[in-house]
Amino acid sequence: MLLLAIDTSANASTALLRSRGTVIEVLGSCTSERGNDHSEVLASAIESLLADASGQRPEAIAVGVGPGPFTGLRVGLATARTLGFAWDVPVHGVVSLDAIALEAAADNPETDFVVAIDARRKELYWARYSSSGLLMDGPHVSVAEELPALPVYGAGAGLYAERLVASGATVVAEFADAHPGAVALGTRALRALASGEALEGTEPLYLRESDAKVPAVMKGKLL
Amino acid sequence: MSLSAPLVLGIESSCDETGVGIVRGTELLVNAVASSMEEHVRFGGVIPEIASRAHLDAFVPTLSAALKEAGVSLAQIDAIAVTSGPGLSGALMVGVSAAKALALATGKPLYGINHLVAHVGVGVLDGGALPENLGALLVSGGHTEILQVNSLTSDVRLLGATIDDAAGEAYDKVARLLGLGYPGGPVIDALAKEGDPKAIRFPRGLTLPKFIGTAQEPGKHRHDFSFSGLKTAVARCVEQYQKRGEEVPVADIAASFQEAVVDVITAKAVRACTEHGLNNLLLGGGVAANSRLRELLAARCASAGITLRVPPRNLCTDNGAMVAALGSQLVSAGVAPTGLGFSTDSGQPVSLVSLLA
Amino acid sequence: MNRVSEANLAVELAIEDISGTRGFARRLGTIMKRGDLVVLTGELGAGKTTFTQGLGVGLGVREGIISPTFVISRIHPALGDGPDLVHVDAYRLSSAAELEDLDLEASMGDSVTVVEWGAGKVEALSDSRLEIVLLRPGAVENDQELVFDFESGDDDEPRTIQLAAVGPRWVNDPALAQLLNDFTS
Repeated sequence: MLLLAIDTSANASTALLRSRGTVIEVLGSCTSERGNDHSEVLASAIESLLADASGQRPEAIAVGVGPGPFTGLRVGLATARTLGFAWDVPVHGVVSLDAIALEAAADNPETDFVVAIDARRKELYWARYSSSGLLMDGPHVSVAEELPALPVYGAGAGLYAERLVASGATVVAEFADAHPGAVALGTRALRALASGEALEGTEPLYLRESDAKVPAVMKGKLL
Repeated sequence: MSLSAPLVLGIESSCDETGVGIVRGTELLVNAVASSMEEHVRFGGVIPEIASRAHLDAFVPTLSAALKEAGVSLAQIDAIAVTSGPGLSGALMVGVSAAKALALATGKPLYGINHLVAHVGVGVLDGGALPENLGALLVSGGHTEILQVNSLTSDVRLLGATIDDAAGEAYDKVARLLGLGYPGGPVIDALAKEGDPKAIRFPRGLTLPKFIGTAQEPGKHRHDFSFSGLKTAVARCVEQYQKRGEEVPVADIAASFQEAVVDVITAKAVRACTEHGLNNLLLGGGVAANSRLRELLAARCASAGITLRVPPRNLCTDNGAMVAALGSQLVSAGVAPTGLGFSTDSGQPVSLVSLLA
Repeated sequence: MNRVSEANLAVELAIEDISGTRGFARRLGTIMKRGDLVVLTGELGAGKTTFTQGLGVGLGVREGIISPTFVISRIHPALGDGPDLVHVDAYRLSSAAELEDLDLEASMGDSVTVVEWGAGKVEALSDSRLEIVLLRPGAVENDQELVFDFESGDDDEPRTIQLAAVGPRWVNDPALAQLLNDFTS
């Protein structure tokens, strides 16, 4: 299966992956360095990935549903949903923290672990995973002190290292600068699809609630 | 592709309306709009985060509905146009991301276009090509501008704009002061009909000689607007009744306020047109629905020999058809598409009709 | 939150008229740095837009600062090497989630951020801030006759500016001390 993966929960990140049975091949990937305007760079990055793959149309799309800064997150979701509509292919949502968890599990942790990234406002987005990388609890948004006393992976750990250690957690240094990336996100999605595991919808995980609803009224459709 | 009548899909998401419109040349095929306006009512105005969430959820359903209603497929579309600015930046990003994805998936050319110029361009859908010597008056919650339209696709100039509050914003703030809710425009317009527009003399912003100068030596703000002082005057007027424990004459204040707004807008628009040799004027934006504005502008344009053009109401408010209409004019004029690499410009000036590649 | 006790400095300035508000803000603009936060409070017509226009001149950002009420947030780019000006009206925003779309965190580091009606909403953005309250005198006394002519406006009225400096950024800041000294003497 040819899969396009997109995650904009931190950087704008996209990857094209192909699975044959359990073998997953990364055909190409691109991650922006700037944290800012994902809407400027994402489409061009996808275009060049597809051009390198001789323009083959992906058979599915995986997109990070967050948590992450809302404005950037929506760029990835709007892109993925619209591509899915135009290509008429399924769009699968993946919790963005799963991307870091996949790499953390490959580190063979001995216990459950936590993945945490910056949530701004002096808080972290975090979730608890089993040592094999299964999501056990979360995602949540809270201050560092509320995280379980477990090894913490991800850029959030680097950001609040002292406070996490003070409250009993440990910081995994090699992962203290890790952000969700599309290669790991796509790998996670392909493994799930291969094993028949259900993936998320594409509703964003805002965690901080606003009262927004979908506008119910469609007006003036016909003229 | 037919250069004279290209099939263009337009996407608008600069504020609280998610719009997808499709036109063939100057013919309107569909104008699908999903609005999150009702979500904003209790906040007394648009909340960007709510608008952006709503755009994300409404876009694909609105696109799907538009294609179905128009009876066209994505493959048949000749070009795509999207509002790149001005507007709320988070909201713009949703529409721009979706438009880029659509262009990427279909291989169609993409234009990032100016929201304000699209309010002018929509005129082609109601009466065909725009006349020469054209001015445009755009009045909405976020905008109060007078434009000189030398060429819809390549030469639009700003003659005047507000230096503080937009006219629609003044309506919203005064409605809040008078306890009338949001949006302020329709309720003040209705209430004003019951009041005396001469009961209270409210200030006409930037009409003193030091601001307007003369035709030969124009002052710095000759064609500009200011509604901040007017809003403050209404606040003080309301305050004096409240302090005395007297009933606030809401209808008289509404009528007098509306008269002050409309008087200064129409006088300045007509003067700007006259002095720039513009004998055609197009009125656009949400406040174009205001009955007193239409009435006084029509009368003053007629006296000055200016032909006034007001598109139907559903084309004056924000919508995707206006974006498609401007896009189709750009295609016909042979303007190069913008491509995929542009960013939104929340302060995009009218001189940038479409973004360069 | 007790604002008075947490401020390291709090003053009240008497200002002659609206052009004095603009002048004070312009001087303040010349001492502001990237990352600075101003929380601006004042009733309708107190001069918040005028204040921000003055600040923009002092900072040296692109002209055309107008009310952000409708769009909530506007970025005015620097003309030179100085910080940009991010101008926000938080009147309608009540929660952190509603502020999120503005992405103030992303722009904050390169900008001076002015938030009208931001008190109680945006303090988490930074350890330090200037809290500025603009006051205009009550318009009428109870025994005055009702007024029906407001045409002359009120630009000539005297006004008051309250300023409180909070956080490490403003501890013993000589430029701010000098500025306040100039405007209080």
